[in-house]
Amino acid sequence: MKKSTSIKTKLLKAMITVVFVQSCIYIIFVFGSGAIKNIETNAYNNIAATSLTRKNTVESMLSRYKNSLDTFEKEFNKNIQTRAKDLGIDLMSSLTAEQTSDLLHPFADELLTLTKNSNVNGGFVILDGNGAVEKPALYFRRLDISSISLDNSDIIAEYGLSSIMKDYHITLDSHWTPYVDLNMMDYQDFYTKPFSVVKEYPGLKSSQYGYWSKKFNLSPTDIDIFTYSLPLIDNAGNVYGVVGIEVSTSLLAQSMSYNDLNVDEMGGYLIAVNNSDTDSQYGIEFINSPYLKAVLNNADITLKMMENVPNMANVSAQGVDDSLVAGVHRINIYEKNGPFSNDQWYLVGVVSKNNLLSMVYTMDKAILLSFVTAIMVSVGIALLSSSNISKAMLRVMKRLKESNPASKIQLEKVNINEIDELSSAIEKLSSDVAFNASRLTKIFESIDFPLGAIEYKESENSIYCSDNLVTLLGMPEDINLSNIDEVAQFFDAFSERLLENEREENMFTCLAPVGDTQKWFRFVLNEADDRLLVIVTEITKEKLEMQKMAYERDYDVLTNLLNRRAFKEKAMQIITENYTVIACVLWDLDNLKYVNDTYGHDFGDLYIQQSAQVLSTIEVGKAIISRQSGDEFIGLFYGYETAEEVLTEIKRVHGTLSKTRIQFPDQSSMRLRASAGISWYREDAHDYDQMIKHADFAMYDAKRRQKGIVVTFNEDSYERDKILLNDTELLNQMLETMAVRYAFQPIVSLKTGEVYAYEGLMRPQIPNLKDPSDVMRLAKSQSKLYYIEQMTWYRVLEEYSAQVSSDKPYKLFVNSVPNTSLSAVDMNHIQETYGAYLKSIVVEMIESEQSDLGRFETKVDQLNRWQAELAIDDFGTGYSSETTVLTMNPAYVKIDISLINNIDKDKDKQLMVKSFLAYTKAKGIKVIGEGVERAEELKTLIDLDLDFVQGFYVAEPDYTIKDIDEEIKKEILSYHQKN
Amino acid sequence: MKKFIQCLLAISLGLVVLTGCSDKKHGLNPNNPISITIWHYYNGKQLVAFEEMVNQFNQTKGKELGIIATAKSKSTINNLYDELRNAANEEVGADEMPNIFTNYVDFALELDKMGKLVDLDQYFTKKELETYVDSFIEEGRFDAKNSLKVFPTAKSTEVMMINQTDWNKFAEATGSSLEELQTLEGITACAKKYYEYTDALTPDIADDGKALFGRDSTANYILSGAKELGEEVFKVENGEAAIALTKETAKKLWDNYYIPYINGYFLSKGRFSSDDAKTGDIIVLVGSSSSASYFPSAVIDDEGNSYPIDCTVMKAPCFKEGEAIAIQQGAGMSVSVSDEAHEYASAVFLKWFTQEEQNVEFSVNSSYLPVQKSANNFETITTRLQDSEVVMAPVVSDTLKVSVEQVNDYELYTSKAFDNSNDARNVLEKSLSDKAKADRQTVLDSNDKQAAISNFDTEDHFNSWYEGLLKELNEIINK
Repeated sequence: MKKSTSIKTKLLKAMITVVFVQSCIYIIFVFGSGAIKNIETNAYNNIAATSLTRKNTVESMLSRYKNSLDTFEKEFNKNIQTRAKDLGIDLMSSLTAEQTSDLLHPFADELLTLTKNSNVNGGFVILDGNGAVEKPALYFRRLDISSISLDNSDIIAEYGLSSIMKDYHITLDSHWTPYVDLNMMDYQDFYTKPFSVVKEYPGLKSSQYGYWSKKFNLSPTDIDIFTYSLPLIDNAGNVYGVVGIEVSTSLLAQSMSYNDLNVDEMGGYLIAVNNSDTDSQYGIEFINSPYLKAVLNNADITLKMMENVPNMANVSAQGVDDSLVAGVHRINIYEKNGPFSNDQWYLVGVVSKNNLLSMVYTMDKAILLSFVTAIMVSVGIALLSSSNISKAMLRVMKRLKESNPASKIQLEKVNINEIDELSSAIEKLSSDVAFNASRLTKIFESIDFPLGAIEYKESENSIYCSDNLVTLLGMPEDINLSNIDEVAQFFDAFSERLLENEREENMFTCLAPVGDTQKWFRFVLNEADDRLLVIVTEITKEKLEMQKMAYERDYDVLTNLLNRRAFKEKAMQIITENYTVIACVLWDLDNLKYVNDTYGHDFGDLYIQQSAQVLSTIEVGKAIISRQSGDEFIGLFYGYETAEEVLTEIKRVHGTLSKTRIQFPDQSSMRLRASAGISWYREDAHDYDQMIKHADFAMYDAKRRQKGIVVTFNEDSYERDKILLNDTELLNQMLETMAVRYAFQPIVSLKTGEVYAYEGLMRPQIPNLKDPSDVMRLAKSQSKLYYIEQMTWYRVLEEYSAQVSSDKPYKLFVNSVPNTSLSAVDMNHIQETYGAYLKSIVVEMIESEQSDLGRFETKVDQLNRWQAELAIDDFGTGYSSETTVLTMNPAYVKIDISLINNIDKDKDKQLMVKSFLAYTKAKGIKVIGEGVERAEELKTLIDLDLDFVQGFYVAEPDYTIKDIDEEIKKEILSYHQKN
Repeated sequence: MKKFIQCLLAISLGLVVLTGCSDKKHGLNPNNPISITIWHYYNGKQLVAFEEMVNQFNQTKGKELGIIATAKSKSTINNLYDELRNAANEEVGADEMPNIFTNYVDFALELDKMGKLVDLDQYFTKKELETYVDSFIEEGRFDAKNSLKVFPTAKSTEVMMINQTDWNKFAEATGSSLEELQTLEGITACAKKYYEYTDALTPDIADDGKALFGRDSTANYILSGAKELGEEVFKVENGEAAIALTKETAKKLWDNYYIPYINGYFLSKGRFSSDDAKTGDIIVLVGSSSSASYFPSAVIDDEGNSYPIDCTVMKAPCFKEGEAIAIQQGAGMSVSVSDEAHEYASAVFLKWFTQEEQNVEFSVNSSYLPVQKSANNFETITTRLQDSEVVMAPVVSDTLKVSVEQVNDYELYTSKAFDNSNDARNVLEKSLSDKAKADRQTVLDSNDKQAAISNFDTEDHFNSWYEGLLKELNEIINK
């Protein structure tokens, strides 16, 4: 795919290409024309010309020096010969110190004058002394030629007798010696060449023997000098010495100022010597420029003459990197064909090529610069114009992004046709879209579902809100829903008004006041890229229903206390928290059954409600209270500091309970009463179930001991009884194996003294579970009463039928479990197996607390089917009373042992039984006295005209069914006879 | 697109490099060097040594920064002053002011009044200046602002140099020891002994005894002698000088120069005392440490006879009762006011020139004292020299060693500059020595030398000299 590029890039590329091509054309023309080359050649010519001028200056200076010496020599030669003659000294012989002093002393002045007048650094006269090693001499030097001091303080003596020097007040140079010893010098040419040349070229004028020395020094630590020297030739043509002038390199440098080269410091003059015309190698004699000294470092240079520029050469030397060019001119220091004319001295004006041609380079640079500048400028212009266009487009785009897509878009005109047309196309499109969008909103609103939406685009900082949000959230009527600030302002205030809120992941639920009411809202947040979509729904109805459901789930309808499930949930939570004291209290209302039976279930409910009200007085937050089942309440106390506080509170509740009375319609009233058991969490139990179980045990203990008291869980008694209470295994074992036998106790007729019936008494055959009442309680707590009932019937009949044939006249009393009816299958089975016995069966029943009239009737129906009879057990205890007899209409009533016991001594019991008998006789109900243990009791009962008795005195229960003792029969009969 | 822009950037950056590198620190550019000129008055060995240093500079530091130094000798200090004066006054035909020039404080005072001197404090950090001998730097601070106008480059002190070879002959014959030379009085006494000893060598010729001692500068003798005795010839306060030479002190100076001189015990024949030592006319001299290299290695007479001599260098002698004072002299260098580039370049040169390495090298070659504290230590000097190719002559080495010791042990003294102090100094230079020379000549020319000597060795003669001196000096001071 072709890469998309911006307008800017496209314009830039085009403009730069144009400029580049233009520049290239320009460069080709400028460089191709050779103009630059011409400038270069001109520069070279310049240097050549300047060097020539300089050469002429040097040349004329040197020739001036030459002339000075020529003149001096003539005069001196004449004078010294005259003085020698006067003194009688032969100049061609060796001289003594005295002769030397005498001879030369007067010439010191002349020599000083030469030195001073001819602007040279020094002058000397050296006499050969007939080849003496120590040659008589005068040699003065004056370093600064620009000034003249009258006292000779600027003159230094290099050679010459100290007596002469001291006379002239001239100081001695450090290497001064009175005589010249050429052997002490490294360079002798300045003396030997002119001295010896006369012999080689005889007949020339003295001045034609003149010799320019190479650069040398008098001693290694002395300054560099050049000398020009002439031989001293006496009138006879003998050479007797040399006279000369000295030019120091610094003096030479002064006449070789290189400012005229106009190369700043990057050049200078040098004097080079070359001894042949063909050799391009030149020895450097002298350099005046520090730059050249540094660059050339005294190496020999090679001059390669340029072909197109006369007298110009490229300079190279070993170890020199800089590119140098030079104007080269020979200095004519000797006459042509003279003795020394082979010594060729050149003045070389050397300049750095870069510096010389800097103009050319600057032009090159300028052309390049203009090229680059043109590119930069064109880039700039392109950037500017293209950015104007793209800015205009960006403005439109920005406007477009900011605008509310739901409403009509108005875009600004940027005065660029294409863009403006694009804008109006967008405007049209948007107005169509806006129209459609408003239609959608209308549909949305017409649904009449409390639903709104907010859309926020972070990148554009824009917001869209559906119109119905105004009514939904109670926004101000005049709010601008597309103005993010106004909407944000509303929500800021809104969030502050919230009464309740809850956030989970991307859902936010809150209760907010809207107008006069409070409403629940749910905000569902949807985030995608930079877009946040919020759906707002009103969920007030839903929320209220949920709350109601939650309440009903957790609370008991009758008492408004927590129900069993909710209690457990809360209690489980509480016990995990760090409370100092946690106590579990289980209340069991006493007497509910009585109220139910006596006044009906409405009063039973009232009884429960009033009790619940009392329990509700326990401070909320310190305890939770729940109704577990019918008459059982449970409380968990946790908000107390000490166990004493808890106990105090429980006692207070008990006190309040006992002070509260329930009013019955018969104007009677009754105190509320409950038995309670307490277990302490941690001390008594380590988990919830254990805690409840122990409280239950304690409550049971209370009930067992005395109703209406509070008993704290006791570990010891629990250990003792827990099996009975809890051991499911025991019960199951018993039930599965039907490990129960039945003992049969005779019920004896007081009329005849004969056995009338046998009662089957349960004798569990499991160790630790001997007591039938324990079996009953276990079975009850484990809801296994049915199995007890089932087992009872099967086993009783099994054992009875094994011993007694069905044709015997005995009745069989069977203890049936209240509220439990055998299933049809069991009924049929028993009917089939023991059908012959069924008509002689009497079912003993006691009235239980939870007596259920419906169940009872079912049971009676069964008995009727079997032609079995019904007996009320335990008459005279709380469970069975007159009303029971009334409602159940039994064939027999068994008077409880508590009434029979000591009846012979208790007139009240006798009276009570007597009056009851009056009723039963009338109703045809037979009455049986239970638990007769003494003869007196038996006698009293016979006196009272009871129908039957049962008890140890008459006969003990036995697995073997047998008749009673004959003695007893006789005794019964005997009482009758006495009467 | 990005690459394209980078390419453009590279081009424009290249442009900056092409055009923009001319403006470096203080306007220096190695590709376009500037030239600085140095004027000095060095001669002989010192000239060679200095030129060598300038060459070194051009080839190293100068090349690196774009500075080319050109040195020019003006031969004598007076020439230098005249030309500087002409240049400063922009006289017809005068050269332009050099960027750097050797300068004494007294002359600096004059140029500074014309506003020609650069305050060098701006080019040296305090730390850098601390590396120089304090008294050297302090001497260069003479204006009211106490700014540094003369930078120390080549300092010297006075030491005593002895022709050991000839001394030994004398010492053996007379039992004298070098210790006698430690005081000025001792020298006077010893010189008499030496005259008598040499006179006796040629019994046939009367009064041909030789002088033992000469000194280069009688001005230094008077200035330091007075200071040793607790006085200053010129008391300078706020640039105003007053003559403070007492008659008593003057007499002492008279007795230890003029008197031995007219007796022929002292001599100053050549332009410098080393010239006299070279010809064997004297065997002990007090001269500038910087003239060590002029001390001869052999005595040569006009017959051409010569014999090698050894040299012993001792600290400058002082008055027996006086304090240990040594003259500190020598010029520093000043930078003239020009443009920033040239001033900065000049400072660079001075800094480079006085770095330990260069300082030691120049010291050894020129016999000037080092100006760096670290270099004013003979061990440093010898260690430095081991690394370089410079070979030190024994006399130079000894001089340097003694001088350095003297710098550390003695109080270095320079008479403070004041208006026309140079003229006043010239008077001191000539007054006593010229009189001594002239009177000695009178003695030599007379038939009865002893009578002639007695004629001069009078209180009146002293008084007339003393009064004359005071008058002459006062005239200069009050000019």
